[in-house]
Amino acid sequence: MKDCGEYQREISLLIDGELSEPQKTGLLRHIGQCRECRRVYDAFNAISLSLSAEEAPASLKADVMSAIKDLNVSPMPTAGQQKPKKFRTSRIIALAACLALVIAAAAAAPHLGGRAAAPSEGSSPAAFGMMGEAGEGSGEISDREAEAAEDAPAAGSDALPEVNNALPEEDAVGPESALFETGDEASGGGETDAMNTSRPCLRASEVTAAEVYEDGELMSSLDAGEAPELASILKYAGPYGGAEPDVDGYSVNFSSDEGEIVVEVFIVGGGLACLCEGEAYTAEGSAADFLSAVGG
Amino acid sequence: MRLVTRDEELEIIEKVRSGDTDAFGELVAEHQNRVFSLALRMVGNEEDAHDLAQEAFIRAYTSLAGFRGDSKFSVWLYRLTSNICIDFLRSRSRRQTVSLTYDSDEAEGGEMEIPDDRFSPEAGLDRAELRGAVRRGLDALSPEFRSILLLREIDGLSYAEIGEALQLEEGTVKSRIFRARKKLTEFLVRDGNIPDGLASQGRKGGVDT
Repeated sequence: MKDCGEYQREISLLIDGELSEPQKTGLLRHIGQCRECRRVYDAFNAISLSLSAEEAPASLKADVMSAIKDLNVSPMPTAGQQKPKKFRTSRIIALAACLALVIAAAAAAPHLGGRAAAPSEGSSPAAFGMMGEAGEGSGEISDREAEAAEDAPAAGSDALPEVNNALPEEDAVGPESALFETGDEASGGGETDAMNTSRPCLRASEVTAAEVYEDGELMSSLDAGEAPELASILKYAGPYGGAEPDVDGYSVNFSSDEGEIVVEVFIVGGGLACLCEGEAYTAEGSAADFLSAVGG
Repeated sequence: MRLVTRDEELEIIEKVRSGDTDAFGELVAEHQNRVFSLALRMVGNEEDAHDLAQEAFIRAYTSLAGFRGDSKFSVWLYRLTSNICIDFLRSRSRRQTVSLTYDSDEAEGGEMEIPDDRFSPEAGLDRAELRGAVRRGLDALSPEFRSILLLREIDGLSYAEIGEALQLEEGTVKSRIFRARKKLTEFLVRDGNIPDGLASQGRKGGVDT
């Protein structure tokens, strides 16, 4: 049996999306039952929400660029002019080599890194019809592969259909990620058609809880009685091809026995534009449905 | 918001290496918020943060040839920034001595004690006050602990990336991040500026399973 000290160490991992599924389930169950650990969870969450990137001052870039120009030194040219070309062609060659490795490794990839504005534990695709956990893991794999290939550091990343949907957002699962860029950007152009699991698919009946964050702050907590309704409001109804919303969105953290998923929700007109796993889509429910379900 | 794909970023780096200095501006634009925010939360004031962020970019530019591309540019850059900030903090004489007693090799120990539900979502914490308190609390961490927490929280690096950046075992990364959070929590509890939590209330929904 674990003691609370051990659970509390796990809470830190939970916040960072670095906990395995079985551990997560066990931990969440414990947190539901243990007041002290719940308090630690709340505290760590609160700290996490307080720490976020802010905007750099407007002058920074200009100052950097003018300092660089003043240096009168350009970065050491790499040996030989062939390097850029070599980089590209060997990237393609390494691609094939990467492919098998990445696919194999995708299943073993431990986590999806990155962070959302809301305490997201990264995404667990299982219950939600997504493809494999290929985010950070395959990033790492392609790094190792790159050492072998030497000049193809990002070879695996962008063009492998298997891992397309997760990777472009590998740096940030949350709102900072490429929100409403075209499908081409997110899916490497066309190849995801083969992957019909690219579409987020919420199994509404399986969600056990939902937390709704507005502007990084928790506004609602829904239990197993209420969360499925919210999930069905946010079900995929079709792709979203509109302009990027210029309103702040909500961040909804769904939990189920199989894992967690985060959906960003934006109110556009009377409807809902959602972002999940890098996929922008229109939700089935209306803005009014959503607001009513979250108690807004 | 991420504007540049990783491939595009590598192309930009190649351009800069081939002499296109202006192209570096795109890298600055892409990463300046996180670089600046890391510096700001490391050193605690905007002016120094600005200088340090600038320094980080300049150094990145001049040592770009040394960037081999086998890790992400961001990881490399944030580590660079973190090192510059730590050096800065070490060389600056610090009048706050509280920090010295906080870190180092104290055993992780067991559980923490939080006396009430002050951090619970329902407690209605004033976010601005909390942020202020967290910033003060950061100051109480050693530069190394501070930076590792910030690399995780502000720059979004994974444990593996942090381990790679700082040449640490992942287990060490996990442990330090936990300890940093624990110290921060203890500071917040003691800080007194967080309003006392509400008396224990029944919680609505959430993670109860």
